[in-house]
Amino acid sequence: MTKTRVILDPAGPGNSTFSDPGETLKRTEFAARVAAVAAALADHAPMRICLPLLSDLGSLAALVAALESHHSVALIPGGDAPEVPAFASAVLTGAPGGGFALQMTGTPAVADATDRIYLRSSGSTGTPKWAVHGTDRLLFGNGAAVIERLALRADDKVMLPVPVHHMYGLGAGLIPAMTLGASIHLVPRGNPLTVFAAQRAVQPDVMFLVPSQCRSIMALGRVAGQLRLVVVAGDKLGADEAAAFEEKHGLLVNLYGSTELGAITAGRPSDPPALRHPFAGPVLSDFELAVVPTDDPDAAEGAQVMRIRSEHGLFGYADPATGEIDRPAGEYWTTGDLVRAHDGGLIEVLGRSDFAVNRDGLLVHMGDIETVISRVPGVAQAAVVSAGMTRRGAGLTAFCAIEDGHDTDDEAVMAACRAALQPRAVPDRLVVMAALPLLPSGKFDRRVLTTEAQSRLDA
Amino acid sequence: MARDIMQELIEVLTRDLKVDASDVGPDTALFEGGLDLDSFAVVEMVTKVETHFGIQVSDADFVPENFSNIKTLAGVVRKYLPAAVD
Repeated sequence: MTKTRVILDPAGPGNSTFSDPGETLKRTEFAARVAAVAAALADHAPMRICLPLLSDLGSLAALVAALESHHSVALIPGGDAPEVPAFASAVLTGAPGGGFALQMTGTPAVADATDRIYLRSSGSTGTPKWAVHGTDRLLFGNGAAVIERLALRADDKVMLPVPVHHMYGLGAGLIPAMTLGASIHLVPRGNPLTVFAAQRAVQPDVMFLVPSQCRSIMALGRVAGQLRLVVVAGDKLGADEAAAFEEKHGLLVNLYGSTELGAITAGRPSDPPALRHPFAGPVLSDFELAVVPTDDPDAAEGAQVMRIRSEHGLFGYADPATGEIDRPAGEYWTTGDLVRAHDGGLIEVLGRSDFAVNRDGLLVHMGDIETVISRVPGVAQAAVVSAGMTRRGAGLTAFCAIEDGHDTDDEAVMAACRAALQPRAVPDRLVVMAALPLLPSGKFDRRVLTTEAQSRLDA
Repeated sequence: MARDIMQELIEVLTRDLKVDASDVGPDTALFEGGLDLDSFAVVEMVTKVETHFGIQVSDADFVPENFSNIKTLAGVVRKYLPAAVD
């Protein structure tokens, strides 16, 4: 299969570099790594390849080679036990130092497996959905819109201490930097010491972060270097937090997007702080926004459901067994968020319309937590509300009522949460009540519960 | 009496970070493969250690390798303490 798509332009800026905490490569050296992987892929007609990605150059070389060779890729987190989707015909794993492994899974290749990027959507529990994107749409459509809005430059050094198998790290950070020819520095997310040391060594111009990282960095109280641009996405960073971070570390813009659509809005670096910090910016140039009133009586004033159309969004969701699209995307897409549109098209993201919040940059569906708690023997009622903010993101308070005579207690309920849920979905606190307040309809009175949760925070 | 830096570090972990004392020894990895402290706990640990010992680790020493386990961290702490306390 002859490579016809060029992502890593050999004629690009000659002094750009690629690095992870273990090694730094010049552009020509990294291109050679990509070529070695591409040579191994050349014997295969385009197929669906699963790529377990780590924040290292081995993974990056594998990804670039697969995309340049027109294979379809399904991106998952790398690690000891990667969850390879059933529809993948092969698994391609990059290794530090230039090694890689291509293993066939036994799943037959399908007739047309070119140029798709499969991204797994996040959730608190349960089976993931696979969003199917067109490679060119992401690379040269949405990617180009990001470059334009963020005013990224080919001579930038871009640091990505966020996972690149998720749409934020991939679509907003890695792909624009790659197609532009910028230097790229991958850092595993998680240990603030690693991020600090990497930033200090590399002195990047641009960093992509999530709010919990901003809070960790502020709590550390150290400055590793000045940035021309800090991009923050995943959940809402308070305007005061953004201003404080900007004062110490560099100009900050918010970005809002989704696994299904890529980067949707982003702040303009040329705007003053008063327009950048409270809002997530206008929609990118490849989007058309339509907002519709919400029918949620508890929604904030002026809140509207965000509906968006883009020529660069996903094709649809794929059946996890076959990889075939079984839920095509309609013309408009509802992101599930409530927003307010302000003058100049500035989007203020108010929160989810579907009982979900952002924690650690990923969605947590409160219904999933309620289900786990409800299944604990002796629990009669369970409700989860969001109140306050923590370093992970939105605060979560769980309420439950326990049946009389049952010896289940709050420790048992929290232990069940820790066992069944991702760490970000474990409630920050649990309140046991005699009975949860109800509306006349029989539903939980979440407004009362939220007020109760907030008063406990304030106490 | 000579100061037992490692023991004091273990006490910081158990008291301030609520780590179980039976889970931590001189060679226990603080990050992957050991206590697996998450990013918030890492920040908490660093600030508590600096506060407890009254030291400020330099940016150059602020690297994961220096915080990898209690023994290594004790070596870093000793470097910043006034002479002859341990």
